Amino acid sequence: MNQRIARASFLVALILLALIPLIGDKYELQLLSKIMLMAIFAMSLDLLVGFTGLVSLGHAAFFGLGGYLLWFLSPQYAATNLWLSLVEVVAIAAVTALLIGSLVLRSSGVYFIMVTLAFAQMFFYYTTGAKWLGGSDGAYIYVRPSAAIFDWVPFNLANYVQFYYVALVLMIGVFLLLRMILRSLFGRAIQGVKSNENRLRSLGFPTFRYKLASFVIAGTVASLAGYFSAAQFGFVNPELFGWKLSGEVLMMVILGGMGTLYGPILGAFVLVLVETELAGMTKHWLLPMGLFVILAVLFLPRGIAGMRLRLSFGRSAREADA
Amino acid sequence: MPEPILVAERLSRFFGGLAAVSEVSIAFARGEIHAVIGPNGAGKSTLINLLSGHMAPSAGRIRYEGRDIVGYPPDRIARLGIARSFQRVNVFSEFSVFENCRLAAQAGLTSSMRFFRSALSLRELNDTAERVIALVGLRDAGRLAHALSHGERRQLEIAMTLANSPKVLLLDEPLAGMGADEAVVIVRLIEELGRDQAILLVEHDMDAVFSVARRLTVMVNGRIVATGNPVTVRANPEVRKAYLGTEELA
Amino acid sequence: MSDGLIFFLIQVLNGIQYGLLLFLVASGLTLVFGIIGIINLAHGSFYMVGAYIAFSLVRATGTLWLAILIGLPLTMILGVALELAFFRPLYRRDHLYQVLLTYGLILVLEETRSILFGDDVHGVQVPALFDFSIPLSGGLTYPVYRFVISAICLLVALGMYFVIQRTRLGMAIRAGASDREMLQSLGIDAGLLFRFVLAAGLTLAAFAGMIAAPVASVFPGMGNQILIISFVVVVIGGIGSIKGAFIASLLIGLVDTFGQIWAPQIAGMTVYVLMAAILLWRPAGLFGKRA
Repeated sequence: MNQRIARASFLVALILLALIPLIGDKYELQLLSKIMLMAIFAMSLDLLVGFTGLVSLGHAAFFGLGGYLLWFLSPQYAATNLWLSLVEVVAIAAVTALLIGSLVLRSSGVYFIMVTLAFAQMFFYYTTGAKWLGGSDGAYIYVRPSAAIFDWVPFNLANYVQFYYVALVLMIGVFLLLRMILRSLFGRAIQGVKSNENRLRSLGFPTFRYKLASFVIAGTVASLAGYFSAAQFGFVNPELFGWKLSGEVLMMVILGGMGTLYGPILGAFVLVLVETELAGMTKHWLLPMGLFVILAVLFLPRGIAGMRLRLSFGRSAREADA
Repeated sequence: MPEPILVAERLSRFFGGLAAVSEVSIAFARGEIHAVIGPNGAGKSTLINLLSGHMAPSAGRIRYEGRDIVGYPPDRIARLGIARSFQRVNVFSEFSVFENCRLAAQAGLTSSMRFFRSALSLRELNDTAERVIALVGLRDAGRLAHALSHGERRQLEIAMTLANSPKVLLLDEPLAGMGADEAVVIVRLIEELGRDQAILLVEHDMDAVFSVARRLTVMVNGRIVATGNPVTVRANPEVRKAYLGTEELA
Repeated sequence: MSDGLIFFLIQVLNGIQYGLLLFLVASGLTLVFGIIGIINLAHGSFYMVGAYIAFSLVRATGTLWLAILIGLPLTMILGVALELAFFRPLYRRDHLYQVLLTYGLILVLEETRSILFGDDVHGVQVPALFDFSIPLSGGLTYPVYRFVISAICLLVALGMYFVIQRTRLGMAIRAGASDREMLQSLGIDAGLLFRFVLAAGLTLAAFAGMIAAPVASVFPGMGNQILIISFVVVVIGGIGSIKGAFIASLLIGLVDTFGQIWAPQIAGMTVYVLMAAILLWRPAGLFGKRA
């Protein structure tokens, strides 16, 4: 499978996704919307793990942050403005990621994995114990954010079909944005970090700031995914910060094929669909799920997308990337 | 000797009680190839690590263009114009030869915090990459680095070191493991570069050393045993004694 | 002695007991990671396995000691089986895949437990021999069994110290933690050593679960709960350092216990704040080696 076939199949899949609302029912569309938001979450983690080489087990910290920020910014019985609140969420998430990143990036390897987990756990325990946030019961967002720009309302998030298309456009948008970033000077630098950070530093790159920037971008995009996830069902709870979620999205990235951007999207679809199927079959669906994960690790070393897809950057002297 | 650009004064580095480098004072000037030789464990690699900022000295001073650079991190030192190559080949294995060199050239930009334009659109970087690849004699720049032969990977290593026209080159055994043909190209290249840059050459290949070095320093057990003109040093009885049983200076 | 002081003393004892139990679990984890180099997320699940084995065997045989006697070899066998089936292929792989595979293992073990034993919370009877309390002043008492737990853990810790510092096996373990080549020069089969260390680590965790069962109760989430804390211990103490694990375990045991009393709303957080603070001061843990 080379670049062209991959690109073509991806386009075909997108077209199919765009057409599904014609035949799908409410449940299916809501499931797919959820998957697409998870795909965004997974792509953001891939930026960190697959492209910068930073394995975070606490990425859910930002996902949950996005969700709870939506709750925080939403008046109790009225809608917050989508566009304004998004700007605020991006700003707050970026600053939070900047602060957390400057602290955690001082550690490396397993210590980094653990200290990122620690921060996510801190969020988890804080929200569990905080009454004003609803504690472990969580909190409700009664009215979806309104997409109004003065008098014009381009779409209504409460409508599940329109929400689906918003999620689809968002997923494609994030994919294109990340792809552009990865081809830029910055993108090359962070991939250099993953490949051989020591050498990169010896060449003259101050690698810390690039890792930090990657962390900030990844965290901000994850917060966006969390924001819209909360908007989908109007509910947030501490599990959004949970380590199980951090582990699940990491699974999506690795099983789908890290370092490819397509991989996490594929991983999100496969994982959630397998989960849903299995859950429908048996109460103890986690057992076959666990076996699936184990077998996948043993027999699909590069994940599904990574199987035949190589990183194309610089294959030939001047070749443009996919 | 012309005005030295990089000067180390009484440099020492201890590991526990062991002195890897002890009271080393050495200078490098532009237009001069200064070779440092000695048996294994003499402290040559440690010396390079100290000069390139990868290790902090336990004592002593390092001055570059008159400025004290002890404590500078390796990336800052590289940006000042001191480039180094590594003894164990240290490249970006998953990238192509071209990308390795392009990335090396990118290090010379003021900042890589650019997110929107494609990296490949910066033609100067591409041209620099192609230039250094040609300089070291590598072909087929589209190949991935891990697919290269050992000698070719060394050539790549050197190409990357040259990408930003450094003023000082710290070369740590650049010829190790190279075939005879490849080595000739590199030796000629070093000679060429030596006309303008200051080069510290750590090498075990004595033919190469004696064919290009203008100055020769011999290190044994972390200390300098002799330094000066290669012919004189070669004849020095201390040096002969130090090398007896380890290597023939022929 | 005043009541307040007695109360404080009781909490200190509780903290130490919890810390020592934690050490039993975390030491295995740090050894496995320090020597073999693999991250085993399923380590906590063995704590759960131990507790559930104790629960079912106590139900069957009536005494905890018999349950432990039978249960320990069982866990060892399970550990060796897992090593052969799953961990062997992982030794050379990236940590990422180890994390993933052992995560899958957690799911499998949890669900198997759910199928075999259900999801209820169970209790295990304290062994009759120790089922009494020491009276302290002010009407407060302290259960003797908790002392027993601490004593057992201390014995194990001492045993570990002896083995690691004074035996050839221990030398191999210390070497393995820092230097693979040294193992070969010592003439020790790395594969066998790894298998032993892994099985021993898992068995220690299971043993901890068994002896803790009477005081900590047996419930579905217990494996995950102790897993995360054990990781915190390992990270704070420094990967591969038993000494670090010991100190960190006690530190966490005390911090957690007093945290629950002094600041219950944020009780869960205290341990993580501690870890973050220590890592910021020493990015490789208290006794870990900088990469």
